[in-house]
Amino acid sequence: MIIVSQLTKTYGKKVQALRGVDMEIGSGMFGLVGPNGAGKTTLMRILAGLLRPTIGKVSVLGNDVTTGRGKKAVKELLGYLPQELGLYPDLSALEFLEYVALLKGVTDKVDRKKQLEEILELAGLTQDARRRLRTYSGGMKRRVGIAQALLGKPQLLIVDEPTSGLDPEERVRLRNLLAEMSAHCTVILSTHIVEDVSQSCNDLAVINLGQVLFRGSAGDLIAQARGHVWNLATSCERPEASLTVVSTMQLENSVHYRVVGNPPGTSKAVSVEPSLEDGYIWLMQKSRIQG
Amino acid sequence: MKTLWQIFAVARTEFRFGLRRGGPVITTLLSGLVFGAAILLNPLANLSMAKDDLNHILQNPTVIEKWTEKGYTVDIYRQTAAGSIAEMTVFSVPWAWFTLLLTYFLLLPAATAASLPADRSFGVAELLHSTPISGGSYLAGKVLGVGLTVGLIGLIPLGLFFGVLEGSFLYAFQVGVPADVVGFFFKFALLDGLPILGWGLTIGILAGSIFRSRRAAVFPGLVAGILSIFFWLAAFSPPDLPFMQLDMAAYYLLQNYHSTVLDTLAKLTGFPSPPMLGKGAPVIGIERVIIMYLIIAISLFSLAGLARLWLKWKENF
Repeated sequence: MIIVSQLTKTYGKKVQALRGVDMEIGSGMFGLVGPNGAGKTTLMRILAGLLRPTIGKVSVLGNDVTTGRGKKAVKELLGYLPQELGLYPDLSALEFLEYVALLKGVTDKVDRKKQLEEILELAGLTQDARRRLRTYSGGMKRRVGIAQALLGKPQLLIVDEPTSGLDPEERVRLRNLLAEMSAHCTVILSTHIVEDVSQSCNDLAVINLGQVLFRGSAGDLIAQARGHVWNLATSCERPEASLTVVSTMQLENSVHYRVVGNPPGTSKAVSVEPSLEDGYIWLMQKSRIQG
Repeated sequence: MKTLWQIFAVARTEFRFGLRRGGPVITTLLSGLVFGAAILLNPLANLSMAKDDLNHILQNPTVIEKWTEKGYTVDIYRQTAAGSIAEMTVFSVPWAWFTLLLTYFLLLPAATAASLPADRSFGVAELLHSTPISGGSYLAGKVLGVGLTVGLIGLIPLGLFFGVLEGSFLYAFQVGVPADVVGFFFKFALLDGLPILGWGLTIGILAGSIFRSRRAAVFPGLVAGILSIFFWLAAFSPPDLPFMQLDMAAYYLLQNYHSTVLDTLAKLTGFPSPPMLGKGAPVIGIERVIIMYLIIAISLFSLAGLARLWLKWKENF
């Protein structure tokens, strides 16, 4: 269980990345969604014990991460994939993963070898394990990042924007892998790609400008947007400015829009069942209107 | 036990990088070669003269007859000739010692300062900090890894030095380098060269610990090295010697050096072999050398403590 209460993080004197965040996260897979600059990475880094909060309390699996002892205890249980992961270009994937395994305390040689073999297999890197990382593609590097996070059998897995830069096939594969992991540990998936969350997380939070805008299930978020998503076919004119265009399809004689917002002032609009992405956009739109 | 494994892991990775990176390797090689050359310059310049003298004696029946009467064989001539050049080689140390300090402190810290910033510029630092390794173990691993690289590479100029010396002696006198000279240089490398090397690489790593890019760390490393020269000379200078610059460890080793070959020659000729540092040179005890090592250790641990605090404050590590 992760309990965050009144969490505030200020960089310097002016930039407030988190503003009094309260949140409880249980076991399983949890999605944290928000636009770039919402405060997701700051929250992830605080949970991982990498950043000190300015104000507030954070308990991760019973450990207070604001204390030295608690921070160390959390790191013993943690698998972490940072948003911007770099790798040593001159090491092979195997060398790099062995390095991380030792840092995580996997000191038994037999156990380490077994874990490395399993994780390389899981990440689909067995064939390329001895190649220098400088020769890897972006997707392969991301998979190395995931593999290192899984080392040491973590009880808490924090992955920050894991699918950025991956092709569709790799994204699906990664989402499935994280979903499988969530059977054994708590997985926190932070992303700005709503589709990633919609495919794997039932429990989620939406964050923007350092504040939690929504906390609940995917179904609840979708339900909020019901009656605010429309299909609109026009000959040429664009939808009203107050509507957010989710998709545009140019056909031979008309343009089909999918829009989110309050009922448009045209009879041609047809209300449709919202998706999680529509729910997210409706929420963001509401928060902008409310200021 | 886990901490030791973590230190080992950081050290091993740093060692792998150290060997693949140019900076510390080239610096160590260059500095070692320059210092070795500075020591060998004078003895090698006098080698042919000593060889000619030896040949002259060996062709002089009167001298041979006189010494044979005293029970000495021809080998003693070779050994004493070799001994005089050996003595000259050891005596070159006080004249060349400042080169050692200058090259290692000017170049090495600038080369090793990139060690910590490299993790930041590669984007690996955040990941490393998320593992249970402590900042202290991380720093220790870095120093150990760079130390292993520099120590291993340092063996190359040391080996070359002994190789050139041995080859020259065999060529000129048909005898190898006297064992006491080999012993002296081993002791010198271990008891004075290694602390200088250790200080140079550690001060560089610590100076670079606050920077994010490898390039930004080079200049502070250079400055730390220059300041180290002044610190070393101020803190560890032995009693005044004209025209010489040494530290306590080097002074102590030279003070206690005795050439057995030249002692033999002294017995033969009746003229005592002068002490290496000259007659009347002040004598220092081993406690002065131990204090020097303690100051080095305490200073480095204090600076490492500051770097550790910096990592904790700035990166919550």
